[in-house]
Amino acid sequence: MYRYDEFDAAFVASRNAQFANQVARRLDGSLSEDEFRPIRLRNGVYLQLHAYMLRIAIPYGTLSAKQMRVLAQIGAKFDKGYGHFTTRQNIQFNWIKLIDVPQILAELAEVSMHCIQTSGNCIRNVTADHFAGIAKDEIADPRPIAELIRQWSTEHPEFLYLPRKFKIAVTGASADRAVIRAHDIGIQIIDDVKRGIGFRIYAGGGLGRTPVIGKIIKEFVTHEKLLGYLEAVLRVYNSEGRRDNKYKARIKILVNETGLEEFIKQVEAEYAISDTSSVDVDADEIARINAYFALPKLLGRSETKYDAALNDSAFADFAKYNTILHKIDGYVATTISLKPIGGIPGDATSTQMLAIADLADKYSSGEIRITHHQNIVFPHVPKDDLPDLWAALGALGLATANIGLISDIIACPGLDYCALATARSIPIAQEISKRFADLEKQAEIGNISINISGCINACAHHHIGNIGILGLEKSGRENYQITIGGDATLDMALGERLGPGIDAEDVPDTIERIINRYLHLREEGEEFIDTYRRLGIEHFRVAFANQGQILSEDL
Amino acid sequence: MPIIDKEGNFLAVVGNIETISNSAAISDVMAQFANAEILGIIFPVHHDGRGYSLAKKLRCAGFNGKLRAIGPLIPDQFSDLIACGFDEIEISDEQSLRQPLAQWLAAKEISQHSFQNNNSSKISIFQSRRQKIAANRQLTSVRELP
Repeated sequence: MYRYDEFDAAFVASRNAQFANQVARRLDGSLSEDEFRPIRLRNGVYLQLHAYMLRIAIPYGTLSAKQMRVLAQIGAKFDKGYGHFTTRQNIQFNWIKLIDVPQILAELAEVSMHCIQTSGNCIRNVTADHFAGIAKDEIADPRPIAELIRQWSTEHPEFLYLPRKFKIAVTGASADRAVIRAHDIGIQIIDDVKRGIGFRIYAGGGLGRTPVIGKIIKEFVTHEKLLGYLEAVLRVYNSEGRRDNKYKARIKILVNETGLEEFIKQVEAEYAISDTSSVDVDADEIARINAYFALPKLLGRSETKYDAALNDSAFADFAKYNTILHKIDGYVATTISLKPIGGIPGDATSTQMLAIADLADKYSSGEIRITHHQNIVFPHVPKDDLPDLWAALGALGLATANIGLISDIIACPGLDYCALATARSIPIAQEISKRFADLEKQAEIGNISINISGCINACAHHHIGNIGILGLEKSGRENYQITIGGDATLDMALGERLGPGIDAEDVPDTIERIINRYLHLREEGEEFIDTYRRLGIEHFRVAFANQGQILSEDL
Repeated sequence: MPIIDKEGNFLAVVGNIETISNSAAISDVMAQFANAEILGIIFPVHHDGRGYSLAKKLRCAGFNGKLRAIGPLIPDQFSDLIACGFDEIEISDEQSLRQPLAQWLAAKEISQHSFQNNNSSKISIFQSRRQKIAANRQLTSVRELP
């Protein structure tokens, strides 16, 4: 894991002093609310529906057991005893008092954490594949480059007042687990036959009210030149991005309105005249950062205990759904589901966080990851320790076996917390999850993603869920639009709407009818998305329109 | 209308200077003002960041004159403006009363650490690391002498 050196630590300390000074100047009237707002946001402090919300950066979703302990303490001391992991691998606390923020920032700084650029119209916290460094399909670990981008983008003097927020994601594997094509910039590590390891750059992706899939703007950039190239993209965006309408201010709109070819031309022209010597990274710095991400010492282990435990079907289910094989034989990466049946997706109590930290020390070399699916990963679990880990998780209510299944739902905080929301999303997720509580049923349905956003801003990425649910408000009532066919992988696709919006209480029935329709239509070996792709949306409309009752024909 | 210069002095405005909009095309600006001694870039509001990139582009294009940022800018932007190539900032009288010089100096002082290499006198964190690595190497090689 990356560890702060003296310079990183000094930076965060002075940043905290700076924010304290800015708060003081806001209070004495030197800074107006309009002047203070972007500063507050760039430090992760939002004004929400009921209280302040503080969003803490977990760069590329990686944190240590020690850091998790501090998050648990913050939840216990300053919130109501829990925190919420987000779809951008961060954590947010929803019940913070403004007066406590400096103390929280100080406690975070003790363990090399901060809230820098988790909000506001700037380059946000960088995200990456949660299986980085361990997945068998990996070309190269995306974390060193994500770390380099974190440093470069931190308080970048030119890009603190962009037209709108700017999100970057990196993947280093052949399967994209970082949703890079839904980001303002997506970076894919590739291994070119002639040129070696480098980066393919996508731009202009984003969801929200105008969902757009990111397009390739550069086939290959070298490690040394990457920051200079990113700077050219940002410079074009900062200069040309729309500022007249906040809903048209993201880079996706600029790329669409300018035209892809012309946009690429502008970036190339900008890059050609830029003095990139100031951001080109030398080999020493790349080597310094790379060294931090070496695997911990993982010794060859027996698998006899693991094999024996598979006789217990509940353990076998957990092993099947919640683990993937590690690069190193005898190890698995284990996903801890924060989606218990009927629970709140992404929520963890302080007690759970503390216990997770202890278990990570014991079973995962002290390392933890947060996924954009709002789950937690122990990256390095010896297979023979998995039965013990599973038992310990079970005691904490954290052993739900459902990763990738229908109850592993992504949901935003929705109208229960969020000032922007138009409808609730958490209760919808809870009801659907209860409807499909039976693991046997879930296994029969297979891999499927349900994403629920409580407003058009699409924090839960409903457009790219196999089933997407968007909560809106229609004449004073919550109203939910259902889409199907979304895909969050490199073959990204946006879901299609099945029909007019429906009431909250009809959502679980409707989802069940859609699922039953799929089970009826699917051919051997097909997942939901395959059946949809083979047949198209029309075959599902009959299930959707039939509100209130489930036809036997669908069963 | 006071001006704050790079070194942190409050100066009074003397005479008029040429100014450009923050959306001006770089080719037009260079065609007209390439040899200007001083050029002002207008910030219509403090959170419109186009002026930062325009200054950076002018510096990349070889503009050697002084650059002045003009608009309702705040002390917290001081360091960043200099880093992007500005030499001075012109604010309104109202603002200079609400945000006196001491606040500008304090804001600049407090942000001494930066990850970016830029125009200011600040040494970037990347440079500091490089120096440290070089110093360590030297130390090691001295130790290795017989």
